[in-house]
Parts: sequence; structure tokens; C-alpha cells
Amino acid sequence: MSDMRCEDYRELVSAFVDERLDGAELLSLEAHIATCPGCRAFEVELHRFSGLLQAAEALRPLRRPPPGFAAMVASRAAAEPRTQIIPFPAAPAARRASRVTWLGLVAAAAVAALFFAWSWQRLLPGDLPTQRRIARTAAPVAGQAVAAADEGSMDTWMHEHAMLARGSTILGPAEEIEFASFRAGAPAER
Amino acid sequence: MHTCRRPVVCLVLAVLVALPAARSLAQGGEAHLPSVAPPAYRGRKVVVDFTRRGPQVTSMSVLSQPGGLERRELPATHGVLIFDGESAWQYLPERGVVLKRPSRGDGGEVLQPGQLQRALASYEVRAVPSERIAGRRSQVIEFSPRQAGSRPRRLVWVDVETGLILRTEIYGAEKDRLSWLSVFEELEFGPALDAAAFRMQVPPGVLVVESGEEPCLEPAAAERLAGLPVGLPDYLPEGFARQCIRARRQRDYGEVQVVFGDGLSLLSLFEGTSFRERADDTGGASTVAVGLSAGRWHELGLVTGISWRAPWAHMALLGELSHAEMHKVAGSVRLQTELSPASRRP
Repeated sequence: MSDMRCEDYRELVSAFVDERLDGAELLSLEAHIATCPGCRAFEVELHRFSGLLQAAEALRPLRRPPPGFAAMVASRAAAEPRTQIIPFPAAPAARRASRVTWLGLVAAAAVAALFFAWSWQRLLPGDLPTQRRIARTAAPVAGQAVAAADEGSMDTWMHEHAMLARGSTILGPAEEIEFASFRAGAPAER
Repeated sequence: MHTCRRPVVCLVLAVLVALPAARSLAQGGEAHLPSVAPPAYRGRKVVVDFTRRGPQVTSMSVLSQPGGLERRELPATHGVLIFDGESAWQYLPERGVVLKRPSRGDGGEVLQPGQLQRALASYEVRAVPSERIAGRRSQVIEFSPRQAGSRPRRLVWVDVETGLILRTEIYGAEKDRLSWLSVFEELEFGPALDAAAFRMQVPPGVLVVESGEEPCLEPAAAERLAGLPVGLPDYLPEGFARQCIRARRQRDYGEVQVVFGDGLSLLSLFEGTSFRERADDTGGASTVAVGLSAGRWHELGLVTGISWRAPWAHMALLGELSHAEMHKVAGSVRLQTELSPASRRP
């Protein structure tokens, strides 16, 4: 694996985002990503798509889109700043299966983006449930303050644990963990 | 490569080469230390969590200004963390909330000589060859736990001129495998920063959840506030000491948090009158016996948790220790009245 190039690793990135990578390939990819900013950025982009897909999955049971939804999304999408996509390396014939996977992922991400835009739209005034929510929270910041959770859970206790890190330890990694990755909910391995 | 074995030699070696401010530690003690405060800087930081199924890479921008002002942004999620000198504000877009709390100290990204000195009780410290990080001259310091396999090993790259931590590598307690990497990829000192960057603009419709100042309490005061008897561990790994007890009460719910530290790692013991399992913990999470109770492991990346039901409360222990040490600490938790006298001392 030592003679692998970035484009080879980027195909592995696609596999590990789908949690289909393990063993020597995973170790090799970990080592490469730790030192290659380009591949790291590529991995971040793929995770974003993956997150959009999860968001779409979570939104599915909510309700049907309102009339005019498609046109609204199209206009909103046109107004949004474009995300810079890192070009995927040209794949030789033997790797077409991976390319198909990638194209499928992009297509799925586009669908996810529509759901995401729709959910975002639901937060705007004009939508009855949202108006109730805004009415509850539109007061000045001081008036919005509410107390912490009234039940213990690993989420809230991890948050409390992490927030103590700053100023308490030399490195404060727990705070970065909490800020950067804990909420992503990715399963951890030992 | 120079390896040192004696704490005093290690301290002098490590801090003298790494921190200009710490030079006076060896010369005259902490009272004469100048403050370690890097000038304003702007940078881009990458954090790689290798404990996840496939490394999880997070990129964030960081702005910092003396006086405890800091702003971090996660472009991928639009999350924002701001320290405005008095409060910490954390915007969680996916939850639609901003968490506000009193700011708990500054200098989280600076190697503090006092903390370094404390860590020497639990870690072998040595200086190893350095390299440039984001164009800055650095010195790398390695912290290897004296109690091998009990807690993570860490490598810290420190900016020679400012004391800023440029890169951190944390190797897991279980396998001594790289578990956590945090590194500045870009760094610029002395940029002109807009003061508005350090003020949180709460987006419309977002809920602000504010928590107040929580002083450290004595066990008896914590019991009165939370309405819970306080349990403490009879066993702590070498170098760990109790730092603080916090207590909270909201309507019928009471909670106590006891915090222990060794200078590098934190350990939190929580107890609450009620506890809600995470949805993803009800199925595959592994179980463990804690005393006579059935407990559960929670893998939270570098941090591991154990939750169990004690006779007096729902309990959880969170920390970066090995599973064996976590289990040993959890299994030794007793009500304060049952503890040996040595354990009751703060």
C-alpha cells in the first residue's frame, strides 16, 4: 500500500464513510489522512454529504411538502453560496464501480439537500408550528435563559465533563471532543 | 534525542526550551511567572478523532485575542464557540440552541507551567526533537503515564516563542494507538481582529440555554443542594486528586458532579436522581458488573463512560482512563460515611 497515491486513498475514503473499510486499508488510510491536508478536506466533504443524508432520513416521516415547495427550493438553492467540491480523481476502467458509488452518493446528497432546504424553510416565519416556536424564543437573550436539563443522561453529563476541560487541564481535549465530534454521534471503537 | 528520568530535570528541560514564561519557574518559582499569553492570532485547526469507525476529521477556524477572547467556527456544521471574556457561548445549529455559561478560565491552548508541574507526579516527561508546525518553531514534549496503560500518552508541540500548543497527539490507554490529533494547519500572529467577532449574535428563533456560576462545594453542602447523598471512590489512579464537587437542583431532579484530575486528564463522577439512556445505548452497548449492580459501558471516543444504578442514585463515571481503571474506580464508589479516612480528604 506504500506506493498508493492520493487518488487511490480518496477511493478508500468513500468506502470508510460508508463504514465498509477495516483492517490494513483502514490503518493505511488513517495514516495517510493524518498527513495529507487534501485528502483530509476530501473526507470532510464526504462526511458533509453523509450528514445531509442522515438529516434527510430523520426528516422523512414529518409530513408532505407544501404546495410550491419545489419552486421555493430551487430559488433558495440558486441564492445559496456554492460548496466547493474537490474534484474526484479520474478512475481507470477497473474502478468504475467506485465511480458509480460516488455518483450515487452525489445524487443522494442532492436529494438530501432538498429535504434539508425544506426543513430549513420550516423554520421561517409563516409556518404555524414555527411561529409558535419563535414566539417562545424571540425575546431578548436575557429573557430567553432557561435552566439546564432536568434529567441525567450521558449526553448532558458528557457535556458537563467536557466543559470543565478548559482551564482545568493542560490540553483540554475533552472540550474539543465535545465541540468537534461527540454530537456527530458516530459510533466509537476501542 | 534527550531523555530525562528525574522530574525536576524533566521540568527544567521541558519548560526551559518550550516556554519563555516558564524559564522563571526554574529561576524563582511560580509567583514570579509572567503571564503566558500569546498575542492575537488567527488559525485553522484540524482535529482527527481516530477512535471513531473510520477517522472523523473536523476542520475549524480559530480567532484568539488576549483577555480570554476566542472564537471557533466549524464550517461543516456552522457551529460556533465564543469566549467573550465573561461567558462561553456555544451555538449548536442542529439543536437550535445556544448554550451560555460562565467562562471557566483562560489559556486552554497554552501549556501552563503550574499544570505541567502537577502532571509530573503521574507522567514521565521528556523532550523530543521538534519540527515546524504551521511555519512556527516548536518544541515537542512527551507525557508517558508512569502507571503504564492506565491513561493516554500525549505528545504536545509547543510554540517556542508564545507557548501556544500547535499540535497534540493522544495515544489511547488501551492500545497506545494514535487516537486523537489536533493541529494548526495555518497560523497567523498579530492580525487585526474585529471585536464583533467575539460577541455571539444569537440567530432568530434560537433558544438560549443559560447555566449560572457553579462554585466548588464541600460534600455536605453538595448533598443539601442536590438532595442526594454524595458517593466518592475509595480508589483513584496514581496522581489523581479531587478538584471540585458541583451540585445542581431543578424541580425534582438533583445532580452531583465530582471532578478529579491528574494535571492532564479529567475524571467526572456523576450521580442523579434520574437517568435517561441514549437511544443507541439500549441495544449493543456492553454491560459490566459494578459492585452488585449491572452497569453499562459508553464509548464516547477518547472518553469512556460507565453508568450504573447505586442504591442511592443513578451513577456515571466519565474519563480517559483505561477500561480496567475506570472499572476499578467505579467499583470503589461508596457513600462518604462508608469510606476510609484517606479517601474523604479533598
